[in-house]
Amino acid sequence: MPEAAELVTHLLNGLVLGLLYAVVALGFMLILGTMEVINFSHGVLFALGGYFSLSLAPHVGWWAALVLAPLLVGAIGLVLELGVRRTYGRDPLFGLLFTFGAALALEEVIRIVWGARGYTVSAPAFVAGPFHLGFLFYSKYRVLVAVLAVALLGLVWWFLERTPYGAIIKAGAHDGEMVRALGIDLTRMRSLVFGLGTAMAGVAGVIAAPMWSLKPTVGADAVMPAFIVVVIGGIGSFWGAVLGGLMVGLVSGLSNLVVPRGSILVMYLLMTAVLLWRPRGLLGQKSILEL
Amino acid sequence: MNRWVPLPMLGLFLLAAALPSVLWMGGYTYLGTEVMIWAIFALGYNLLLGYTGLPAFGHGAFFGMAGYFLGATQKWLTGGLWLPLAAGVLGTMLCGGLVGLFVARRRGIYFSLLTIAFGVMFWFLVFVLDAWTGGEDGLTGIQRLSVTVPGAGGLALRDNVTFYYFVYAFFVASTIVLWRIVNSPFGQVIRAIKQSETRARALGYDTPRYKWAVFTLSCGFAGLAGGLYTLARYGAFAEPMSLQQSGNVVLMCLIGGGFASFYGPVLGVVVFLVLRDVLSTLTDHWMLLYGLLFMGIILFLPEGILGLIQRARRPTRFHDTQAAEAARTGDTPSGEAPGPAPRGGG
Amino acid sequence: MSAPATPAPVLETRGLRRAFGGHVVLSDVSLTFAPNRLSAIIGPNGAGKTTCFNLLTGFLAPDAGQILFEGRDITALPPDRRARLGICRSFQVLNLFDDYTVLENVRVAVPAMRRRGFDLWTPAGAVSEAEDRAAAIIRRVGLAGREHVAARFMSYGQRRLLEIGVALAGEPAVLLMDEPTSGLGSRPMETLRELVQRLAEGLTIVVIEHDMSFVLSLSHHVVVLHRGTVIAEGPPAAIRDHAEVREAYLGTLRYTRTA
Repeated sequence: MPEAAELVTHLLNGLVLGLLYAVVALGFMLILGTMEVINFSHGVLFALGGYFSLSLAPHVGWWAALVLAPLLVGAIGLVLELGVRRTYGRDPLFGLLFTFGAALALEEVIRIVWGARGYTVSAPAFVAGPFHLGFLFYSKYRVLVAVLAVALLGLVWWFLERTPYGAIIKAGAHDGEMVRALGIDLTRMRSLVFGLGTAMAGVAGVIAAPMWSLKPTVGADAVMPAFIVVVIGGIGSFWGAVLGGLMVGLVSGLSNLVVPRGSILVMYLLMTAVLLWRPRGLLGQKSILEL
Repeated sequence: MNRWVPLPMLGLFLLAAALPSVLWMGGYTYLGTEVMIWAIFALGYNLLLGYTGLPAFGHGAFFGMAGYFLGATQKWLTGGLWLPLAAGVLGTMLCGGLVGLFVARRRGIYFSLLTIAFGVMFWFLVFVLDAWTGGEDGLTGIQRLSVTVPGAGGLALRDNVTFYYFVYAFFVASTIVLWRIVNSPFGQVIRAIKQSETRARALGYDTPRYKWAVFTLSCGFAGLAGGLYTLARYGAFAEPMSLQQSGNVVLMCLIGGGFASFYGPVLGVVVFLVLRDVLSTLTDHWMLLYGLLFMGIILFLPEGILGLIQRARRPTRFHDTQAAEAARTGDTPSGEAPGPAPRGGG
Repeated sequence: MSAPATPAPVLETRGLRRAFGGHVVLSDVSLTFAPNRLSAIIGPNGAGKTTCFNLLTGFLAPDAGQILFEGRDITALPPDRRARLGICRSFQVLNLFDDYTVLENVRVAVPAMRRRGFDLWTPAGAVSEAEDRAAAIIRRVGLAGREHVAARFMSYGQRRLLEIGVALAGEPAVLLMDEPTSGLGSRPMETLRELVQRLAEGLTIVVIEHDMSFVLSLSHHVVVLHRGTVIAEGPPAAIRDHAEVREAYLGTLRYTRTA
């Protein structure tokens, strides 16, 4: 029987992981919901975020890197979108395949620039060490990760719900023609969403780097759960991505306690169960993506 | 068109039969075998992608799991060759049928998303169940046992050339079967589903059931190919089950023109494997070239090689014919019809 | 124009209601369609006519109300089941299998082919019952000689004919046609009108139409929808003179040169 400290630690780990998954999945889902594109390069862009911060931080400090790295990633995203946009309106398979090819190419670029070996990234000095939370010690860095993730989610929520541009994005996800009829530049909106979504992956990559260590394939570890999160949470719902992310993270963290190797399996059992009960995901909107 | 073996197919079979005499000189017999194995996989998969319009993106998982079913059956259950092969096919079809239950009611991007999710699940499962699968090391020690063919005696499959013809037999059989399928009533239905699932439903077809059937069938062929692949390599490994390998079979179908032609996937397999060989000798970082090539094909050659050829051969005067017809009947040519027809099955 | 004893309706709706979001598209629509009659549903755009068809064919579920076919409640049946019962439909926005030839389009709609849907072995062309029926339908709609032309290469008028042919091939108990003359020039429209006139002998047809001469000359029974409710119903002559109908239609009526 695991003792309380161990239990709480795993719970907190799961929570932090879940918040991270939520950020990644939200960016992924924004692109998916707005443009019907499964962005396979999401994972490698996550990795690039980490790698950029690795190279930038020694020169400009951790906080500046936290801002710059995602901007760089978002810029790459904007460039990618130039190619992806040629696939809009065609079979949705093509957008998927294009980002798939991009993912392969970018991962190799990482290998070329930074090498194939892994890097351990240390947490910035001001959050090194543990918090003393009563009966247990918890990593200060993970607390920072949680805080940053919540802040980022809050920022995106505010953007989607409280700004006119966010409203347009939500509308555009369902009715591109109407949006265009209102005189809004659909092309620019799509660029924005792609840039935003990929930048979110980049941020997540920066803050996750000290936790996960950096290697060229670390993107896969981030994007694979994102698929599950989106299926569980549903497409088209902000809270779906958040809820899904938290669920997957918590389940993952807790089952690590009980069945260490089986956490992935539990994640998928969870997904299957949700699909049986709610085929569109927990909070999924009826979207143009299906029948 | 000949019902059993149309002329192009016959040509293909003859070419493949003659190949080992050419290939063995360069030690490429194994490559030829690999081409046929992947061709079985890709042809079966194209039933789903090119004919029904269902972009499944996790099929590598089915190709890979067959090897584990085969290996487990051979090592711990029955030994031998035929039963393990059958176990590979049936086990894969069973898993495919289960996944199919979830995905058959979907289409388009959401369909892809689900197939990816399930594909990744199987990938992880291999590592979680590493007591049975050998995890990263794979399930090794699989044997190519001798086959006794009545009338021809025993065939030692360990010989690469003999094995080539063993696989060849399956290749011929699979191609013929698939040709029958696409030309059957069932084939008519799935092609209709691709063009307009709504209309197909409106005509009385229970389209989810057909989609499930096609999905499961394609998994059967993946299972056969995967089993043969495992025999070829004397082991089952997780690597074909990765998302990347799933992407490879899609690219194979696409590049050859699987949307346009039955033979597209075969051409695609050849091009892909040859390209992979060539690229990897050019540079260590061939993956970059491969990714760029991938993107280029999507942007500039989405209909594939055979699709391009087909388009070039289309009667160039069809516009004239249409317009002339329209002028005669006081009609409007289809290109100017008010209200565009919806893109079927979108 | 009253029949001595009204035969049981082939298709019937009772209190149909359907809303999208907060917007009510159909409310309390109760209709009966008698056998072997051509009924027309008319009304301005947005009146709910196509929604009505979508409900009848099962592509939309009603928020309230029932749909009956030959006395049976089919409200819960999916679209493919209804089609197999004999509720066949042609679409307003052409919904053909564009890569298929005329023959393939019609053939796949024939029940003889459909019953063999899971036959993976027989060559499709060898199902002679389906071939024969398809050929007959193609002749009937006036596309003989074009069997092997791909649908996408035909003129718009021919595609409209094919659209009807596909619906007809399903051996309908009731044929629902959604704006079959939409976008047609005068010559093709005349061809279509003659076709429908011939079809109307011995087939239950429900047509959504905007073209008043078409409606007035062919239908036995007209239903007028406006903003989701039935505002008038009756024989065509009565509807033409109906005040409310004229008001609803002001500016949207379309008369072609009558024959």
